[in-house]
Amino acid sequence: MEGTERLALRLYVSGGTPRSRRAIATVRAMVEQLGRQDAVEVVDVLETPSRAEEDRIVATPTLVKHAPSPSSRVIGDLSDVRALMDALGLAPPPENRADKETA
Amino acid sequence: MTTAGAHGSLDRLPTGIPGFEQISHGGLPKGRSTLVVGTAGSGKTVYGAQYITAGAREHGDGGVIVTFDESPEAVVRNLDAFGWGLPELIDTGKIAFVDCSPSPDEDAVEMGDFDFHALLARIRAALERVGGQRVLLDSVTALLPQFYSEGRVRRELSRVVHGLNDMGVTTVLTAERIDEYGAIARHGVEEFVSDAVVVLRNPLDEQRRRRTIEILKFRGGSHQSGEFPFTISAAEGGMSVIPLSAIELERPASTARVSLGNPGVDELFGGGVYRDSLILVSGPTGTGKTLMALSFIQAAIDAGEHALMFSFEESHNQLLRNASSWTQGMEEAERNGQVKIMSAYPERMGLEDLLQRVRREIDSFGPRRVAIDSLTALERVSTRRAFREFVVRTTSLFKENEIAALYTNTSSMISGGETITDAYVSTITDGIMLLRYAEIEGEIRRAAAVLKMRGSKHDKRVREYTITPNGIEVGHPIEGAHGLIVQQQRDGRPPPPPMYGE
Repeated sequence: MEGTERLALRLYVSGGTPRSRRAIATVRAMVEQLGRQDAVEVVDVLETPSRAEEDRIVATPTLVKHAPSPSSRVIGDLSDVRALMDALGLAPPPENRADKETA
Repeated sequence: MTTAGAHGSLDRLPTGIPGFEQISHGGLPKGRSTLVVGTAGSGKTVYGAQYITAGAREHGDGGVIVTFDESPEAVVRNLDAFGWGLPELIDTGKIAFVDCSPSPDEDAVEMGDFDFHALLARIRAALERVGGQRVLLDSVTALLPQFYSEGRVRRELSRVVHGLNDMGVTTVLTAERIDEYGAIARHGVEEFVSDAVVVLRNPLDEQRRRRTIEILKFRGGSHQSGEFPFTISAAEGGMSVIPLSAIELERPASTARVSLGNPGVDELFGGGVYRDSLILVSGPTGTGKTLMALSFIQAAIDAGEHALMFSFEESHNQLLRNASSWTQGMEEAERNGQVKIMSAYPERMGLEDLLQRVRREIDSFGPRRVAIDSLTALERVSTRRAFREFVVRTTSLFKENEIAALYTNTSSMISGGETITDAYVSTITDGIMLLRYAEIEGEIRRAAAVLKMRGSKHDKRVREYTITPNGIEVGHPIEGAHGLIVQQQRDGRPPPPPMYGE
């Protein structure tokens, strides 16, 4: 499974607010668990507001999953990795699952 | 009303919506935010988009339209009929969209707290691109259901509004309401836009839709209170507010006299009527009211003036056929642009549209005389309230522009008698001429009398008249005829006092 399906995430944040930092930390923890650190791009809308046009971003933080389809988005400061994976329809990798079950 | 501060203490930004500057004393509070609320279909988007496009076209102000509901493509398409040239204004960089419409095929989940910094950043970037002064957020009601936590959305929208105010741009936010006369807006949206509130209504009035606009508050500035009618029409280029004109104000009355197109009739009025007079000709069918209107127009032709006639009783061709036998050169005067005859079924044109038409013709064609034949046809197709407004507003338009006007009215009874229109219109007309059938010496003949002529002497006698190939011919006074004009009671009591002046 791993590496066969493309994962493309974009996280929109606004500057270095606590909300932005929380969201970035949660998303980074998630992609680390998935072993897909390269799958997320972080966009600061205050620096490049034009980048927010493409996904019609109103609120920050917003995480948009472009792939795999269907695309979806999660709005908010994303405190919980498991809940975020559920919301994006992403399954944790089997070895992680096994770790958790034995732990 | 809430008119804190002196008139003009707040800078105003003209909207470019005809008539709105008059009721708002100059436009929207500049550098502030105005909430425009209304039920579905009340014209909120038209108001907002016209504010943006007119700003770009007429004032050179760049504008940003933020759509929370429909895509920019759909907004442009829906507004296309108004001919504002929105696509060109976008191409030339005068107007930019910020698309915040939801993606129908994308799930959105809310997880934790958020802010609207992205929205404000996008609006700011768009404003910089177009050199923007004006912002429209349409509609904030569509934004709220996109989030679970209404409280957060309200808090963040409030910050966006403050951010826009800090940038010095003038913002219009639209929001939906459920009832025409209930809470200001759904979701308590008005709480965070406290500078100004404008309400658009589209209520049923005696089975007809009637659009009105009301300024509920303008913080720190004066405005006219109450509801004003408005129209939305593609032919008129969008929304037009119909401001109450200053009919109550004293205006210098003209002392110059003009002819009614008939020497005998002029004599009845004591030598023609004043330049800015409004004359009502009332009588049953067949007494020559349309002929009076045509003579009135003919007098303008003879004087080399522009004249406008609305004919709701007869088609254009019928009217010209009549005119050719009674008056001279009506067709030619129409061909060379001196006379405009507008024949229309009032059923197909609401009174507000008609009023706008009159206003437009006054501006572009510049008539010195206007005849409306007849008021009765208009009364048939409108509510009483709309009809009264029409009469008041046309009257004040004519007075402002020193236009002589003649209205005809059909009274229902053959012998005359008063109609509601007579009773109402008579209070604002300067002169009233009654046409009646009378039984004289065993024959049905016609009798005319001038009942009122403001500020002037007139012939108070009842006169017989005939309709000849040359028009109305006023004859001798009818001596000893009673009850022709003011009807006598059958029981011999004295007649009721006349309803009219004098």
